[in-house]
Amino acid sequence: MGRAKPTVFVVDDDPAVLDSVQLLLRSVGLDAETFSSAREFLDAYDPERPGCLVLDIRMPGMSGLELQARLDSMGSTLPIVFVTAHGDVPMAVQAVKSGAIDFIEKPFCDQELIDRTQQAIEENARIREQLANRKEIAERIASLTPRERQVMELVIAGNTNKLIAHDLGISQRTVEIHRARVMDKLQAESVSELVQMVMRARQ
Amino acid sequence: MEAGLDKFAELVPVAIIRTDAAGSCVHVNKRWCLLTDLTRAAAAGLGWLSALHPEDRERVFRQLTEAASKTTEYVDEFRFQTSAGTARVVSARFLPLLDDKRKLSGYLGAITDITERRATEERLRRLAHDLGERVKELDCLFGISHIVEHSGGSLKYVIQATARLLPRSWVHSEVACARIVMSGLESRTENYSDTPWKQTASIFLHGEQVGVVEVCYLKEMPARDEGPFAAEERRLIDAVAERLGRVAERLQAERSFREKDQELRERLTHLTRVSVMGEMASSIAHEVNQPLTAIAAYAQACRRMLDAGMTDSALVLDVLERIGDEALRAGDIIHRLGNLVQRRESRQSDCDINELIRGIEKLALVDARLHDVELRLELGTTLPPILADGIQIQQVVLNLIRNSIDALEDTPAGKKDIVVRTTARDEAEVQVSVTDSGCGLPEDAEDKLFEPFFTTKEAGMGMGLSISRSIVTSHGGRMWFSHNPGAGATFFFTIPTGSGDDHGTS
Repeated sequence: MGRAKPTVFVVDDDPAVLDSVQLLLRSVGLDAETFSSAREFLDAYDPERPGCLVLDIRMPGMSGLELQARLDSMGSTLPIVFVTAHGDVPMAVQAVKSGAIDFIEKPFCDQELIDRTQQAIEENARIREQLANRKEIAERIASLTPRERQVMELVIAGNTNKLIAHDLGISQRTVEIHRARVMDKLQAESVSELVQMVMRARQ
Repeated sequence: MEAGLDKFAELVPVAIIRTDAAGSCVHVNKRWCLLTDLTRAAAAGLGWLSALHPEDRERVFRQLTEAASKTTEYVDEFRFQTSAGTARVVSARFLPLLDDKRKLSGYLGAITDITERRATEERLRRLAHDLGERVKELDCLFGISHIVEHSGGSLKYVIQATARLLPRSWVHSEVACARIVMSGLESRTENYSDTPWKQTASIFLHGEQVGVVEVCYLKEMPARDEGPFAAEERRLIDAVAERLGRVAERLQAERSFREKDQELRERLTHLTRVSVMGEMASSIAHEVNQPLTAIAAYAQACRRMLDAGMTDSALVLDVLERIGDEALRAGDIIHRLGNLVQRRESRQSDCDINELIRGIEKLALVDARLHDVELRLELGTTLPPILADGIQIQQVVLNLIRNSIDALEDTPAGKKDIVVRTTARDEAEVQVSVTDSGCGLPEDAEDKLFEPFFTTKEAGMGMGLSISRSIVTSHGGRMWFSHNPGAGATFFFTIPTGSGDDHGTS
């Protein structure tokens, strides 16, 4: 997971545009898959696959903006680079406000497409890593016993062992043992690292 | 007896003279003296003859003497001339007087001044003559007006009919013939012959001589004011020439007006066509952008592959071919557009209506697709050719499709349908209809729908339907619409079928 090669998903209703964009992306070593409609992409959509979406904003049937909203409601994190025609700028602005990486105007400069696509892929990798990281910490936290969890909460709230022992009505020595297990299970080197991890997991 | 007669003579309102058998004056009454401006003494004897106009004097005396020899009455009209030189026209009646032996003893003349009557009569006669001539003239000029009215703008017809009309207005119409030469045209009456007895008048147009009107007599006729022709005839022929000049001027103005009108109409038609194109512009720009995008991306991909040292020439060649295809595709769209946007003169020829509609199908589909509209063509088979200006008919169909796309704006996706149908109504007409499932037309729009500048759209110019209908009408067809039972409206138009001739121009 996270190690799969990213794919650029290209959605456009024009076969020649699809074909040429795919060729261009492949020429710089990117994997590209093409879809001739928003519907076709949705049917094949797999949230696990890394990469980005290069999406034509104006298409018959479901438009690019509608697909964006659809993916959003599905919790997708796939970054979108919109492709617009001249005169679609207001639509494109709305797309960016709704979270798209950027938009490029047809006909576009190859470098621009490649840069935006790579930027989107990196963004996607970063998000995926973040998510993976968050998920792992959450799993580690889940592996704590209830008592260890109580101790962890009090530690990150800044309490001393003495206070924790007093609060929980247990010996200071026992607190030390729980605390060591928490640090061990969460693979935290210091209290400050522990605090960061928990904060990140709870974002 | 004579003395009683003379006394009596003073009582009547006429000039009286009494002579003896030899014609010597014996008595004149006072009125005679007043009329002739002679005294009784001067009139006595043959003195009275001096009152007569010198030209009439000898004749009157001779005739009176002759009458005396036969003892008959002498009635005549002649002139007096007073010493002041004024002439008086008189009517005279000399009655023979007989003595007891029934022998002539003299004459009793009663003389009435008819100078005023004669003058009035002369005036009347002249007036009647003038009126006669004027009527002829008016008749002729009215005839020309009538001809012009029925000429349908043809100068040739005007000249022909006018030449035929002219001879009957001349005094000797039975020997008259006419010829009109004008602006490269010539028309003569059947009996025309160039004779020395000719009357001519020049025709001027904008101050320049452009022709001549001629009336000839086929044989010599008595001399009048101008050769054998009367002064009135000079006036008339001049009037005819002047009228023809003005007619030519008017016809020229009308022709130039018609040409201007036609030109304006064509410009407006073009303008509407361009404005429909404007409404379609974003759809079309999008459509042209696709191949351009593909071309750019293909070319850049090729460059990158070559830069990276790729040597698969087959792939590069393949991509180059795809670039070529896309360039042609862009060109094709622009070409179609260019055909419709170009300004040119109206040209009619035999066309296949289905062919015309297929010619704009791609443009219409571009527009329809971007508005999620399903556009279908249901073209009839074996339709007769129509006589039409193909581009104008395409414009009408495109305009109706454009209207339908606008009418479908608020219709839910998947229910936006337009069907273009062609059918043969009969041998004489082909019918085209454009049906949509859109919002239909407001009731109050119906009356005004085809009027210029009427629009239900925010951005519309309101000329589309008005121009469309005038195009259809100018082709001899009709345009109307109906509400669909379900939703939307259908617009129909008909175009007459062609003659089967190859090419006609209008």
